[in-house]
Amino acid sequence: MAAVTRFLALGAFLQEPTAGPSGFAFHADIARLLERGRFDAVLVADDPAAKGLFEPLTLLSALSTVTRHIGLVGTVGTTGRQPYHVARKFASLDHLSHGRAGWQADRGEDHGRADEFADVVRQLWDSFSDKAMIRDVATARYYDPDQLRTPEHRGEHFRVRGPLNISRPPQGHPVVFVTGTGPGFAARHGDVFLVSRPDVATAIAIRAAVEAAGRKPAQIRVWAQLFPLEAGTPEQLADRMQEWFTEGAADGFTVSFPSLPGPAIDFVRQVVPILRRRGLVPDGYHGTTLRENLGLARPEVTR
Amino acid sequence: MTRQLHFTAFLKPPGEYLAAWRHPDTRADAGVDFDTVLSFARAAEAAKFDAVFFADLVGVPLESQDVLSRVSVVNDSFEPTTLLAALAAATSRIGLIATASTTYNEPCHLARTFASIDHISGGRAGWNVVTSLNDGEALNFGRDAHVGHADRYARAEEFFDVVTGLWDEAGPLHIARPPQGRPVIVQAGASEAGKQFAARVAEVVFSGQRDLARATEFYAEIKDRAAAFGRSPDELKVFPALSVITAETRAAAEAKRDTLRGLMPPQVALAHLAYLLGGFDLTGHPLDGPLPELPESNQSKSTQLDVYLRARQRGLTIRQLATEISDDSSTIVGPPEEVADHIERWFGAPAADGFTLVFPYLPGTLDDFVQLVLPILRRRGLFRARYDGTTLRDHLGLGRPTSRYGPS
Repeated sequence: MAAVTRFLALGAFLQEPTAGPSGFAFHADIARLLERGRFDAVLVADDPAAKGLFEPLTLLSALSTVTRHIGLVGTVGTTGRQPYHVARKFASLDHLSHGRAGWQADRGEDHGRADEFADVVRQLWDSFSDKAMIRDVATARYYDPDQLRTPEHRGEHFRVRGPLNISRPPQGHPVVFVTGTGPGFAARHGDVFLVSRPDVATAIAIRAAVEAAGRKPAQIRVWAQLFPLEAGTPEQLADRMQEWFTEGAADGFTVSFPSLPGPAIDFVRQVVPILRRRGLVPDGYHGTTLRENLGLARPEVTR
Repeated sequence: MTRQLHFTAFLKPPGEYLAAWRHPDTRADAGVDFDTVLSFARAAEAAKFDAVFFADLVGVPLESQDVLSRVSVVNDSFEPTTLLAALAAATSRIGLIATASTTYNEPCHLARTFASIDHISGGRAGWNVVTSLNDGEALNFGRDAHVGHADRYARAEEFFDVVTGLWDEAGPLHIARPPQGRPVIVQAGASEAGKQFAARVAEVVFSGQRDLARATEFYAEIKDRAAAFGRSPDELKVFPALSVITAETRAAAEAKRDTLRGLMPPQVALAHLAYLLGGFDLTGHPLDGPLPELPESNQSKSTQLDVYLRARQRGLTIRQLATEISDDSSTIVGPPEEVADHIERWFGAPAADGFTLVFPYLPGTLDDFVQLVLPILRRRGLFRARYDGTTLRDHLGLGRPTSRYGPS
């Protein structure tokens, strides 16, 4: 049996240009650049203070048509929103992109509501089992009613009957990104944990919280924010990344470019080749979905 | 230049007909196959249609599993705003209209989403404003039953004002004003409240009258009502729904229609009729007897009346009505000259400024219309051979709205 190789993951937040015109073409160029650099994901924040032209789900859906491999992760808060819309839009993005969607779930202030929200979203994604859509022309059955799992959720914060009106997402569940490290929402729902600095103790604490929540610590990833200019030369930056990765301070990095596109072009040209040479970043995308590229298992329908 | 026709392609992949997914020339999973949907949008763009147009439901209708499991679109379709954004990046000229409910959305989210699509597409977005139709939707949003008709329209009026205020102001939303100023507003209500709302806000009215006399009356009425709000008749376009099955000969067109009807499971035909009648339960009424008297519907009142009158005027039994209604009662089945004549007659009456084309199955009925009917309309000088502008407003001949907060 082949040894399981652990790879270092790379992600980056899209941002508006500091100079020159914004527009979809600008973001499309950045996403394609990062894809050439074997980044695992582009992330689109939903910062109400940022004067962006674009809403995350629509921007990511548009980017799905001009990229082929890179993950497409959008921040959508749970506050003031309804789980049916959120589940449906991410399921739709996952179908549009053939399994590249990620949801960065911002839990807001009300943790109890956010927790229930994410539970409902997962139940909605599982409305139809993987075997449900038989589309049998001869018997005139589009789906098998025995494979329907109508959520009929009645909780403290939400009453959602379901089912979702789209088949199960290609990834089962889009990858869930979270911030925060302690027990509770993140430990129960997160697949990828975004932390501010690479730190071994933080990564250990996250895995302990995940295990305490009844989940497998090997099935989560910790991505630390990386400021490429702080490390000096490309070689020194790669050294630092390798060290953090090897000691278990981070499984991947969200690279914070001080501006776009210049520093991203430099990173792809100068740093990524070093990481590839060292076998930390694979040469191509070995999977077709974001989950596969991150080495995360596809969730089963449990009900 | 003479007055020109407009066409929007109302796409419900794999087709409007409830059994379209069983047709040998469709893809059963077209509702979630982006390349297939894109091929339809590109065909409509090559034909110089004004826009593609997608429906939306935020829930599966409440119906028996025996019926629901036999249909495709309501169970398995892309969410329309994400789909529209993807199509925006993969097309260059055609308008992109999606339906979104004022009953189950928040104005700030919806304003941002449609502004974003307008930016991605370079000014090609349109919003079809609906107040939602069924209890299956209500139950996904913490409600036990659908909101009453009057309350829905009161909310829609206020919702609309908040959304357009956000587009105009640009400040609190933190997005630049959409390239079109505002995405194009489409509306389909035909009840009293729906007509008043459309007269005030709609730039395209998607209407459903089946006969020329009533459609002509509606056309004049809605433009008069718009005038009462101080609007010019040209600021509001009326696009009746039109479903066409055409082929070189009448016999060939009817054969296509019969193939389609043969695919319809009887359970689905009866349930669809009951739905159009406002959720009225037909069980217990003999299939070969007449349609019974109906209570007033909380759903789409105009549709119910239309179906009811159709059955009564022609003395149809429940079974006959269910079969007919199964391929959309407005479907014109015939050779291309006859279809073109119908279009020209409605256009000239005037009962229409253009049409919302409904396709029983895709891409067959779209391709047939484009290849057989459009050349006739072009020969008659009624439909464009190329796009003159770049935005949906350009295609429709609508001006860019000024911001209520001044120039921007």
